[in-house]
Amino acid sequence: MRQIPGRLNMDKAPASNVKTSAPARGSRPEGAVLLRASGLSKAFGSQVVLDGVDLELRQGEVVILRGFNGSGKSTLLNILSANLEPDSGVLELGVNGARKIFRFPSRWWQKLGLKNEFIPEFMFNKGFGRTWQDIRLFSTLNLCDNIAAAIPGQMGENPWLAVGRFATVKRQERTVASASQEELALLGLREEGRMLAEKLSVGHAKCVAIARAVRAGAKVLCLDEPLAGVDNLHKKKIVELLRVLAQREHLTLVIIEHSWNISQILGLATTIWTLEGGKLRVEQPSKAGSPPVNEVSESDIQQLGRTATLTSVRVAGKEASKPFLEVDDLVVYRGRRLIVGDYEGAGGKIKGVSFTLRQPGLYHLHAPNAWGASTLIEAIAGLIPVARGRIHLNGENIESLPPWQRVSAGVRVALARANGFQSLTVREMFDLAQVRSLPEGFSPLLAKQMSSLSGGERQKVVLWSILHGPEFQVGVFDEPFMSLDAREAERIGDELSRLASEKIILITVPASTGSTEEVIP
Amino acid sequence: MLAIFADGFISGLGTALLAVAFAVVYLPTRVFYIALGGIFAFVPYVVWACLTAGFGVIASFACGIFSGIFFSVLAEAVLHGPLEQRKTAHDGHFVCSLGYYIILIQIVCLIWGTQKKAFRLGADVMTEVGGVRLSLAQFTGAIAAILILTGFYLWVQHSKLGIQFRALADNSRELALAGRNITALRLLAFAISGAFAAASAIMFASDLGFHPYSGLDAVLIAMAAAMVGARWSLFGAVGMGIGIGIVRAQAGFVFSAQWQDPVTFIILIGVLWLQEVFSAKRRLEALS
Amino acid sequence: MNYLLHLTIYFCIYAILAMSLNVMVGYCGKLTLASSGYFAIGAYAYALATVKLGWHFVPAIFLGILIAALASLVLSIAAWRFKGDVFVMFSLAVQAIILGVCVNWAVGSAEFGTWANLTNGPLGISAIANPVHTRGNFAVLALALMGIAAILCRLLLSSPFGRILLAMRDDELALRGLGKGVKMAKVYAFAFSCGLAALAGSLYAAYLGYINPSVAALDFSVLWLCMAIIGGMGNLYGPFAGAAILLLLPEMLRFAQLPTAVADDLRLLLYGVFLILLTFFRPQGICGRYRVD
Repeated sequence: MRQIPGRLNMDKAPASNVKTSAPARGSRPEGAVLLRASGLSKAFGSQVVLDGVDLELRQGEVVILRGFNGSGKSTLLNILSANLEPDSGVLELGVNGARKIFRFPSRWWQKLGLKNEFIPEFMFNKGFGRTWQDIRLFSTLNLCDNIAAAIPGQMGENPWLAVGRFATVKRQERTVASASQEELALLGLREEGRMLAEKLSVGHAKCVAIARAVRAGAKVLCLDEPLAGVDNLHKKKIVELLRVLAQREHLTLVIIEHSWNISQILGLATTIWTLEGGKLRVEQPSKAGSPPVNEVSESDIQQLGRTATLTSVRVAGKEASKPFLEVDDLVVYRGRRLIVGDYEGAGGKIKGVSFTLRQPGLYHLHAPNAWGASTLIEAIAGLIPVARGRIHLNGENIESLPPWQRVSAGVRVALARANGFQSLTVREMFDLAQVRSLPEGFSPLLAKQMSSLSGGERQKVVLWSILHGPEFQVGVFDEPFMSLDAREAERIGDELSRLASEKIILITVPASTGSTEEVIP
Repeated sequence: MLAIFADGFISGLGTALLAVAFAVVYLPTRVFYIALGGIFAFVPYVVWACLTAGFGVIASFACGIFSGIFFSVLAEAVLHGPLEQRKTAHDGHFVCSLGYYIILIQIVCLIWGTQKKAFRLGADVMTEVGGVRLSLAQFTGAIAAILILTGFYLWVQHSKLGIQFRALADNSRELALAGRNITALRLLAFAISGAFAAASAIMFASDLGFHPYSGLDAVLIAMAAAMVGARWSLFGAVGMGIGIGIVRAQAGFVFSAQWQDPVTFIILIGVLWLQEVFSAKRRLEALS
Repeated sequence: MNYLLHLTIYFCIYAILAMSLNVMVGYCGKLTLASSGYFAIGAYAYALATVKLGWHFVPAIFLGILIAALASLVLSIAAWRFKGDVFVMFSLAVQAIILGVCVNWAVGSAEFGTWANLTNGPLGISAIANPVHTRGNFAVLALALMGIAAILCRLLLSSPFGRILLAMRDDELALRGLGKGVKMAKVYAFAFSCGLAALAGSLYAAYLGYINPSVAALDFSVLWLCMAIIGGMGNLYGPFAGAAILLLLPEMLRFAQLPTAVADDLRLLLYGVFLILLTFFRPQGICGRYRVD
């Protein structure tokens, strides 16, 4: 009978005669090179995300990968886990002496799927595992099964053996199940083995996801924002879990994280990778610049739960008068998954999101990725129904109104990465949006189809069609400055500031910017 | 040679109407509108009942079109609209559409039985157009189809409502955010779909007769053509529909009338496959 | 008594079909309209093997299952790449092609069963012998086969293989990122599903003694999909509920003294209504776990 791989001993102290091979903090680790990439490039349409990235990952390293939103961190991670093919470059795997080289762009037969080894399963079998920003547990399975599904070497996964040697398979099942139970107990979820994964709070879910990947046998673990959207108690747990993985289990870690969370894991790190302008910069932790400090005067910060905050930016002159948009105990699901709101405890009551916006006013919503900011915005817009809670606009409940009636009531929303209507021309777009006056600089674009514009130009058209459209009272903009060039961003920023002296403007801020000053250029 | 091409072109026009009917609902709502098969089967019976009751030809055809619109709008008002409010997933809409399809077909069977019927309008008279022999039914059907498709194209490109409709097919969420009533526009989409399906059904029924299961293959092929063609635009579906008609006729000539449908399906799958392979640049999709 | 045996045999056939759909739709999460195609493969393979080649019951059944399992590769390969709508389209195409083959692989003049005229076209294949001679014995045989199918389903679906299918249905990419291969899982699952459909087809052919291309009709695929959805999927009991309802509904209608043709249409009509009601109020079916929404 096959052996089930080793256990995570989180509470056992290491024996004193065991030499840990984890390198001392600050020194360059000398482990074997596990992975080397050179010249990795990736562009989405006309937007270049990675521009010749070179990197080297050695055994035993704990790497923190940082960079602004849209700087390509997740893209790089997706490439390293074979979920995405780069446009060009070379990826070398050197594990246990066996080398494998991937050259891009791949050949045409590989694109058709023949003899293509650049797939997630292959990378995992070489020891490279990953976790996801949006966690991705198996929602209809319970927690025990979630971990059990990952354990390798199960005879029962082969249908012939499942039928032919069912007694043996049953015995192995019992071992696997008890191993999963132990794992859950170590994570503090002993009683919750039979709970469905979709009912788990974010903090717990992230722990389970990490345990799942480790149990599956990963030797190199790439973690996509493990601390994002997690409350402080679970942050400590996750950091401790990472410490055990790095120092006791000797895993190599690559952790993507944001500025305000980096300080918590800086103690573990041996290397810092910074992605900027499509290029990667490698630094030692002591030499890397300290993360930008939040310089906002703490005039009016509302906590939204799970580290998201709503900040009011004082606009010169006007004092905010009355509450105009009030969100009260909002809970929103996507399908069966809870997105806006969080479970208190494990599978306990759900706490909704509440905040107040006063008119006039300029507000910034800081939320980590995968917190659910976009879902919250869609709920305010009326594109997704609310499961619980109220949205009051100037005293009236609007949470049951369809989107177009909310527009008549004075709420305008621009979604992130809005693309407008691809098959319409710019002029048709403006007509549709009932634009009153044409903003300057658009005449050459009028006859062009939206699909022929670049991402930044499309974003420009969508934003100006709101700003110059019918009058509104509340304007909600989800990451409006993404993909805009500096000059355009400045123009729109000025317009938004101007509007904020009469109306309510709510902007979501990309998660990795610490300083609010950077948001409006 | 020309005769086969003409034959294929004309039946392709009928398929194109049906493909547009499917695309007009599929693009804005992503509903796999299989109930269109039920409407396609029902409409000729309405026309036949009107003709038998003594209505004139035009009046009967008009009743047929109205019944198509009615059943289609009913589907959105009672089924797909409410399901959309609850944000039901795609499979739920499909199962509902399947149920509606079954109900429509069974009502036809219950009321009128399963025997094949025909309109008997005396439109089987053969005429000759440009050196090709066509029946009057085929000829008038083709002209009507071309007029309808052209009219639809002009409306969608140039009228205010038409532009909103194109926007709906493109990105219905964005349209809602722009302040347009997409519930009403969705009803319009379903109405147009019903009208086009009815027109197609009448066209096929006038030429070939009808029974409750008559158009099933035609509907399936049209849906496949729509899914392949509609990736480009509403009118990609038209192009594909006509193309399929021509291919089908050629297949019937090369292989035999009986292998027409299987061969057409094989060709369609081939095109679908190639489309997927070459368009999916991000094959291993990584959600951001 | 005879009638009761007749019902029992049909219950077994329906239950096996429901189990087949349970695997593909309930566990793999792929809606399919090709089940009648694989049913027909089983029926025709059995008929040809017994009538033309003189094979016995068991080898003939295995032949049907083997051919269906091989033919399921088309769907598996489609499932590697396509999701949702496009997969349904594929399954429709497969069904249409199999129907076309059944109807058209026939040349009037040639003797049936040869490569020129494999299926005898619309005339169908008749004089398929009942391997156990009496209806009573056949009922026992059918129950035995249904029992075997049920045991196989239980072994497979409650094993780690079944868990892989469920995880794959929930989040295929995450599963692949844990190093588990999904391609072979799909191949095996689909082969099992289509094999079960073929088994039902063989039983049907053996019982009725006569088959024609109508067994591959799309209407049957639709009907059996309805049965599976109404009964419920995603667990081990749903298929039996679905088969029972499909069987008993016309019986209940018969009490209302309706003529058979009307009763059949009415039954289907009620099915359509049930489907709609279920989507709104109980998407997991009567006894199932997998919610179709």
